[in-house]
Amino acid sequence: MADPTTATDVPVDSCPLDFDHTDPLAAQDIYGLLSTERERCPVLHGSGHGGFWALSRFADVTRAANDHEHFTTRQGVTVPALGLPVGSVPLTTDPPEHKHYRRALQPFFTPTAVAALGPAIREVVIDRVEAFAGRGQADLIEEIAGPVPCIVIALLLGLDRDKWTDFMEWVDGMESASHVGDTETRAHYAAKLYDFLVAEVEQRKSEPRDDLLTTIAQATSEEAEFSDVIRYGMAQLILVAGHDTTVAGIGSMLRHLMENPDLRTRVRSDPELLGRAIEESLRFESPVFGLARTVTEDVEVSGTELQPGDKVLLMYGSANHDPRRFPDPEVFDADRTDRPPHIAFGFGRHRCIGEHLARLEMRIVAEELLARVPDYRLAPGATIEMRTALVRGPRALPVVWDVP
Amino acid sequence: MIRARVDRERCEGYSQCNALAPELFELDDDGISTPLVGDVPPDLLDALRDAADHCPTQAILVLSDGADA
Repeated sequence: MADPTTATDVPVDSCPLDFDHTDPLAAQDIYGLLSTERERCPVLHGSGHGGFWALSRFADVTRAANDHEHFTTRQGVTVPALGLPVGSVPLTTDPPEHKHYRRALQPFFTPTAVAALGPAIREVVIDRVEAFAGRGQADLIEEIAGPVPCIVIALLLGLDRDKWTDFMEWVDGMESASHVGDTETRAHYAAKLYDFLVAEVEQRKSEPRDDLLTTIAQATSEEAEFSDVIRYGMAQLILVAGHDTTVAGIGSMLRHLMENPDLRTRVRSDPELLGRAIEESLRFESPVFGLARTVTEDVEVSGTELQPGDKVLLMYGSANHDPRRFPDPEVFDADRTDRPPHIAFGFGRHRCIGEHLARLEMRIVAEELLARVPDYRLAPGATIEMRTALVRGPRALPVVWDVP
Repeated sequence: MIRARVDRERCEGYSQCNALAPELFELDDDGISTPLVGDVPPDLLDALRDAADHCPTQAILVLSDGADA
């Protein structure tokens, strides 16, 4: 053994923090906290939620995301576990079968396929905005960021769009219950979601329509098994991953446009700048703070030995604030043209399949809102509280504006 | 000079290259990528590297002059 007096890198001493990204106090300023921790402790540890590691640096997050030998998604991708009724396919499958499931969904999510949804999305957005534009005040989360992604996902899957409040209630219910360890409530909502998915998929088997659910119900492959559980899992993934995350993405974008009025004015006549503002918002306040993996074989990450069974949170949000990758990461600046690509949509094979749809929804909401409500500001006396943990975004965005 | 090549067997249509370097890669109807230019202009080399690094299936090859295309 080395002389203890020469041991200079004792990880335990440099990582005193018991990390918990779901702690509401810590989460209000999580990037302030991480700017310190990322330097002294690249692999954080938390004793909550059954114990987990959390990777804070861009290089470690991207490496783990690409290393399917050591890091699997099969045992769930969230800390804490959401308690979803079935595995979310293809997210919770590994290569090589992963690609067969992804391939079945991919045609609905190419840039071209997504662009074709633009007019229908715009109609939904204009409807929502016109309902409150004359009012002079609104909670932009409740009025637009919340409803739009649910309606769009319902449209894409081929679901009854009048049921969008149900999806929101179930998924929000599962997430809230999981944070406080309330497994009974979590199971209650999971059962509702499961019954719904089964009914919809089974119906498409006998009555095919021209929608994504029918593809999910009928897809086949010679190389991978499409069991019923796989089909329910695919429908679940689109429904769950497609709505809540985009709510947060739109909410944070509207917040940043509010806090940068000059930028907000300029994006109205500069579509390219709006694109950069969307990307900067995704980097600066990544809607999916992180997704987890489970270690399958002994592996070392930045000096920390991880063992089989360990849960590891890949903190995309932290990676997107890593100064090794992004100069001046704590500055929101849409004008920078030299920012490298962020990983708000993840990295590697499990990268978000709906990223082009999310961007399109963000763009259309910005365009149509600013065309009717160009000068909104935070309501007097209001503060912005962040939703924490798995999905990060403003809980509410109460704003006011001048009505002519 | 630097050239880009897409391994169409590996490409699974994630469309990252087209998003990060639209001047260099276009997608067909199935989302499979094709390089748009022969020699990559110097001002697009960073975009090419980003596209290659971010390709989830590592289907983009960056070839230097003289390498087999």
